[in-house]
Amino acid sequence: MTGRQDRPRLQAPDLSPPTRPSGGTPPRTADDDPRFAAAARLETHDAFLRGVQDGRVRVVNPETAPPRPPEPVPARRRSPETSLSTRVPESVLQQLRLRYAETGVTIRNQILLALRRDGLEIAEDDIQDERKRPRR
Amino acid sequence: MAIITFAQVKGGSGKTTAAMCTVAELVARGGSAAALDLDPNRPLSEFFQRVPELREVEVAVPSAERRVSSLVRELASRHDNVVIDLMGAATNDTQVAMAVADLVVVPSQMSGTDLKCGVETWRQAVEAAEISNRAIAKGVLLARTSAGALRPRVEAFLREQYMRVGAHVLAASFGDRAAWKEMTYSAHIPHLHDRQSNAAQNFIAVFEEMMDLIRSAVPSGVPVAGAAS
Repeated sequence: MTGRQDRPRLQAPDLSPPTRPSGGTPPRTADDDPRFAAAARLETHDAFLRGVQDGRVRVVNPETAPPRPPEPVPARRRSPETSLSTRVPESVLQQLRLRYAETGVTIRNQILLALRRDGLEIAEDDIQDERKRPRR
Repeated sequence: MAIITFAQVKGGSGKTTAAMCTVAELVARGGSAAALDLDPNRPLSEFFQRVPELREVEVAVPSAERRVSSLVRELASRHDNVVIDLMGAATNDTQVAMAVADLVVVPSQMSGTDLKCGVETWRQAVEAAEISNRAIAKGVLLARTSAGALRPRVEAFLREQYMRVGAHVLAASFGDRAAWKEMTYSAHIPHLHDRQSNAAQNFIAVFEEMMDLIRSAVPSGVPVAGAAS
């Protein structure tokens, strides 16, 4: 009965869980998940306005309506404006009017730009014509 | 992981009931589910609080600080499935919630207004898929249909009309049963509490078809919601 002692010893196999190459459970959503990028594009103020214009959006959910983008900061003059009245040849005034019609540059700005070219110190903000700013 | 959006630009079509039932079925199958409630009446969280099995379901609501897409991304990072219930109107959320979805379900009852608004909703879903440049599974779910074996003429007519505009209508429909009407009062959800009941079998058939739609839209190898059943 010595044969039983000669039998090889049973060795327990490795039953530990396999290691995954990624190091664990993959994340449920990736950073570049296309679903969220597409939805985010529809949440801009521009997309909202397009939706209203073409009738897709007829009711605004105030909880989720995209905020209106900040309006551009109005130009700040370095000094207050004052009126200047002078006399010029009729032909000069006609040319200034014609140039305004052609380019949209006001007579005021044509004069200021010409004076700046001539060396007067006139800041860019001073060129902005507040009369032309859209009303709110 | 799947995101399922219930959308219909007409109110009272069955979106919220279908969303509640879908969350319950996902939980019944052992999956983790969350919901985004875009209806300002907040019916989902109130209902889930009354059902012991659904009390732990996370329900997100929008805020001025976080966009819908961000909210859904957060929910999706924590849960296997996200169900979105929209307001019953053509809102700024409608197409956002469609663009983020793997499946858009358009519940529709039998009236002409339901049909007209259902078609509009379907077209918005088609457009959302085009904008997203990806496949989004879609289906019209007929709701409050006759629960009996005999289907009324108007149901067949409605199916024809939807198919006429290229919309896919689920073969299973949400039957008009007392169980669904009483659900929010009784907190008894047939497919969660009595899976052998007729009402439970009805919704399970709807759910199975929804899952099939997702499977048909996603590339093979990608896990699908509810597959843990």
